[in-house]
Amino acid sequence: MNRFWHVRSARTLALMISFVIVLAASILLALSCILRLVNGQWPAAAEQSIKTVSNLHFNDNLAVIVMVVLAVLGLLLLLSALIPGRRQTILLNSDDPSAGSEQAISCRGISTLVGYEVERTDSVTRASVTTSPKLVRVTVQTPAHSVQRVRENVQARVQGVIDGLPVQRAPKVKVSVQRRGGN
Amino acid sequence: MFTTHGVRQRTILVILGLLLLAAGVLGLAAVWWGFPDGTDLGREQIGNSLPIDQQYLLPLGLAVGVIGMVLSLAVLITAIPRRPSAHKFRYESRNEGVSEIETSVIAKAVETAAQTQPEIVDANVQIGGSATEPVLYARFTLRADTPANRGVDLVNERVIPDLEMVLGAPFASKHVSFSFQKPEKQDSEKVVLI
Repeated sequence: MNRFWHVRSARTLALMISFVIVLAASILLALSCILRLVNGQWPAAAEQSIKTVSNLHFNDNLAVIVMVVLAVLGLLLLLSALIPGRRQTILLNSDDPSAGSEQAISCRGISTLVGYEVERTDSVTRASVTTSPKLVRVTVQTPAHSVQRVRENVQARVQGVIDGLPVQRAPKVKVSVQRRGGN
Repeated sequence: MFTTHGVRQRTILVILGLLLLAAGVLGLAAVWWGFPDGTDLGREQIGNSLPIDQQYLLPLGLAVGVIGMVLSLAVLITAIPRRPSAHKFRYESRNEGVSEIETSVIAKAVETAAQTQPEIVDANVQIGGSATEPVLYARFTLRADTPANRGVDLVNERVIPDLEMVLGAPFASKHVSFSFQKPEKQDSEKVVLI
């Protein structure tokens, strides 16, 4: 069964940027050639470029810089294609590929759920939550002196929420508390 | 609810990356270490290695430009994220003849029905596949102040079976995602202890 939701992120942005540049370069090249055919001479910018490239030596700084840039860009594209992207969902217990059933819960949804629970905790004035398939990271602000107690309360509540989710592999919980406001 | 072809995108990026990397590295290697036959490429003019004064430069440039345009447009168009397409299911029976159902109509009805449930805030449903082997793509947003289990069970035990009954066939595959939304009214019993 091909998965629809529980997939690694694609590389749409990198691909789009790369091929918009390729498209722009191709249009410029084709347009220059068409203008040369129609007018009998290269457009000024194209002629200047041809002249610059023709007179350039392979060991000139400009040529070396272009080669280094090409190599670095190629390496970056290669790495972006080969490094696996992060999944944005966690599989539920009811997920069963053999029965053709894909069931997942979104990490953003878990952040919302946890954030709602944390914001309802006593002494918490502000909370931010980021969730990945392996870790729920909670940052809260409190004016209370007893930071440790707030941390324990938040940790317990978040753990309760995560334990209540019917997920195959529960993410770990990490809570950090910042003291802001108060006396 | 959009999908992208991750494997294809990564393959294209690998090819482009390898081409650029090979061009850059081979160029640098040739400049610094030269070719095996002893030619000192570093002192060579680039113009001597390019077909700049050749007659075929123009058609070659035009061909490369046009091919580059077509290829990059094809890649860009296929890279745009898409929704699973809606279908028209066709049913044939000896007694009742032929009938057709727009799956988008059923999907819309399911979304509306699901939103009447107290646990479900929002639903987004698409039905693909064929009449005999339908495929479900759905995202349900559940209320954050109700137990997650209840919403998931409701979808699996009521919403999806009802949908299968309407279609007259079980789903060949189901792709369901759940999310949560905070209730608008926040708890007022919270205490801020300083």
